[in-house]
Amino acid sequence: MKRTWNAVTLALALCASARDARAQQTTERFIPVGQSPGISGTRSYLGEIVSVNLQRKTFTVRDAQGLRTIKVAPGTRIWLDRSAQQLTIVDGSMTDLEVGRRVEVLYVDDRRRDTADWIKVLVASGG
Amino acid sequence: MRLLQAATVAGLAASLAALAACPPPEPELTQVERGRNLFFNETFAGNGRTCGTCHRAEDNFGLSPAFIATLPPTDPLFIAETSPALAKNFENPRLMRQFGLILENQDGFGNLDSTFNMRGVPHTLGLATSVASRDGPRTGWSGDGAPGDGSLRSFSTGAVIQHFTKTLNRVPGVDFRLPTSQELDAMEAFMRSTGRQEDLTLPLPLQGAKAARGQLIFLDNKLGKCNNCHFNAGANANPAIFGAGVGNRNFNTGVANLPDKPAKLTGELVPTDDGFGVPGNGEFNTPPLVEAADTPPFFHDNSVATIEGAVAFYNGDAFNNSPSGRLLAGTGGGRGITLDATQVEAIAAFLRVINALENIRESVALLKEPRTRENLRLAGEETDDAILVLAGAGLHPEAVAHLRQARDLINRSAIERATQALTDARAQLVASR
Repeated sequence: MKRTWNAVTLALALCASARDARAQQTTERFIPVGQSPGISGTRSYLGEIVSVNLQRKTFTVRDAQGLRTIKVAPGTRIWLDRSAQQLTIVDGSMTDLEVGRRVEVLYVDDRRRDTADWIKVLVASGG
Repeated sequence: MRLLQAATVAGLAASLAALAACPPPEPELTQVERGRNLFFNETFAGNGRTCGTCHRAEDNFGLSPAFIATLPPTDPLFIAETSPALAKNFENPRLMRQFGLILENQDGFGNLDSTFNMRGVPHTLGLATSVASRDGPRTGWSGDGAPGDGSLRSFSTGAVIQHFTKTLNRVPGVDFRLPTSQELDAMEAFMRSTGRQEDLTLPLPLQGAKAARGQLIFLDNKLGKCNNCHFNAGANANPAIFGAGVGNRNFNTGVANLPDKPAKLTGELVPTDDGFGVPGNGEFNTPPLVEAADTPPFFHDNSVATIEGAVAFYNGDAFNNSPSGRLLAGTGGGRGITLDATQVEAIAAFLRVINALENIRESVALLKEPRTRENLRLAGEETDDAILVLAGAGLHPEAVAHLRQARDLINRSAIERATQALTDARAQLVASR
């Protein structure tokens, strides 16, 4: 019986929620560039796009630390921050990553700092 | 020189006179007090709701249908009934009023007609003990309730976006304003300050035979098995099984597969809630049990109304066929949990008693605070809750008599005698160690 119980406890320990706790993405999209709590200024890159490579699905951002080339993965979410125009924030795509636009990029995790989890693109007036 | 001294004295006197004419400076608020003000009063330029609109102090920081029934139609909780911009896809007023369910869009805002969840309002008591996990903070029913870094501090930002908006466009600066960094700090401090600050250490020397038996079953790894996931009746998993520092965990217990859920019986659209993540994996996080008995209804969808029903859930097919139930069954192919009715009631009696003990602790603590009308009111409500959870199952009539006496004394602001009556009630429930 003890062996059975040990197997149960081990299975419980291994199988319960193997995925990491994580933040809610659905409300994140409504938060403007640079205002994500606990993320902006600490775990994200905030800068201007200086180049885009659509074929390789990468783009380069200049932030306070210099140039960073970021990969856009299949699961990367891109949002267009139109809050300055008092418009709702909407889904974007790779083609919205235009040179000169200001972006905020959350990297996936500390081991994948070159891959974007989400990208917020600031859409300037008329942009 | 003497002239100079005279001038100085005259100047000093004038300054003192001016100082005396000034109103006394406002006492500086603590972070918790600032957070409390924000929690209950700040609308963030939105639709009129505050955090306290759903997390009612008078209803143990939760929201039950019985409490909702006492609110006037002008309460901002009912904003979907009064604001045309929020009439569709913001709330379901029928399900809110009947079952205390709130509409949430954890799976995205792409199709508001059919993609949403209807969830109850979890109380915020004891958050200091229940949010941390080895994998990071877990907030909300599925552990992924906060944007940003997913912390309790960030939770308020997501709540404003989901629940405070004036329109479904959800444009910051138009439909609401986002909390500032300082406001998030203060609200987090307040939320962490409510309720228990530490977990119990079981077993307690309980006086009642039924509750004491319930505690044994709760702790029994071959019978109740409750302590595996609700270690010490809190929200954290048992470190002996899950490892040191495990904290709060998510589990798929099959609540989503319960038959005859009250909300679905109405015929209203209630999509199946898939829990953690997008798409979800069916898991929800573990709530603390100490505060359970006086915070019905139970589970993320308020599908069970009584604490006895909530315990009995673990006897049923929905749980025993769930991933968690099958794991508890082990390799033998039996059922994970099988309890008889007397055992279900014994566990529920245990949960009722530890809830009453927490009510008494909170009430005594409030009576030690400055004698404000608010503190007396809350102490009275905690005492009422203790009476309700015990009398609701016919438990400890002697303790209930002391509690009724305490309630009467609180009404009359007889603080010392009320505290003594509460202490007497406690002694009926648990022996001093």
